[in-house]
Amino acid sequence: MGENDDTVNYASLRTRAIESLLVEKGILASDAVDRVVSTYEEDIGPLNGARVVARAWSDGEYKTRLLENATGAIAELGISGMQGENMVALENTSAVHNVVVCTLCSCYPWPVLGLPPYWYKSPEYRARVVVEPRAVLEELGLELDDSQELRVWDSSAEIRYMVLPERPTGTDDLSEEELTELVTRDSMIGVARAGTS
Amino acid sequence: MTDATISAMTGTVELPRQNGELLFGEPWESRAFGIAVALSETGTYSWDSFRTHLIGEIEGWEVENGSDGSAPGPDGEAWNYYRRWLASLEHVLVEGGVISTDELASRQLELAAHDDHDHDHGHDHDQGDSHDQTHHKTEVTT
Repeated sequence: MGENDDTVNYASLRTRAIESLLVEKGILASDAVDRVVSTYEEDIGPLNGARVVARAWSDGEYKTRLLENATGAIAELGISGMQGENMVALENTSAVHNVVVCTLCSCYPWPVLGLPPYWYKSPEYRARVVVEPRAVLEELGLELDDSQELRVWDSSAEIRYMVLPERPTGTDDLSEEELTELVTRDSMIGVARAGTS
Repeated sequence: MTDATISAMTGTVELPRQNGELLFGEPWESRAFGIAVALSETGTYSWDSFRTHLIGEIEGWEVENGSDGSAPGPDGEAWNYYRRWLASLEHVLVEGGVISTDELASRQLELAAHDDHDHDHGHDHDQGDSHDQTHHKTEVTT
């Protein structure tokens, strides 16, 4: 992906060299690496966040708890944080739209949203979404109403944000499980609406 | 940590996981990711310490290359998040005395030589490696 063979080859060799030394020294078990990777590739994904959103759409009291104490409300669904960071849920409404970034590195609520997408970690997104968020959202395909207030939230080691997107209209008859399918990862970062991708 | 009920849900409501790009662009990226997380879990270093290195690495790259990420740096190296991740891993291990840069460099050469033996890629490993090591040394001293 834009990288030439030599840079990829260097990184690949370097990674293998690190792993091989650590295993040899008894500091690292290779199957521990396999386990971490497969956990994040297969078990932990934005589905966790989608369950949280669908529950909040279906249950007003749960939504209140989520907005007051997201860490606790998320734990109610059996989802817990890896580094013990605090979660904050931001509600999108017709008046306010929230979008999340980490300007310093890549802080992201892994346990709830899985691993971040490539663009979230790019220097371009991290720098520009703070300076010209409306333009960035437009490029990502999300046009906001001029009257909508736009808030950009910068994640940190202590606080991880997730967006509670607006429930799409015409979904009153859907079950919680059906609602889960409308919640995309991008809608929980705030760069898309739910029910669209 | 992994909720059994969540795993059991795959297949029925898998959609939110599929609406994105690949998580890792190259196999080594997932390996580097897994090593760094596994070591923080077993206490070789704290996650905060790794993260501090990562912030420094990313900042350093942006200072050198500009923050729009479109222009490759002086080495012709395009932005790659996991290369910064790998450099952070390397530095946190070297600083903590877990591995030395020398043993890392020689293990890398061994692996490269081994690969060349196994199958002829037609790449010039030696040239690529010596260039990268020079680059690496300047990184470590900063």
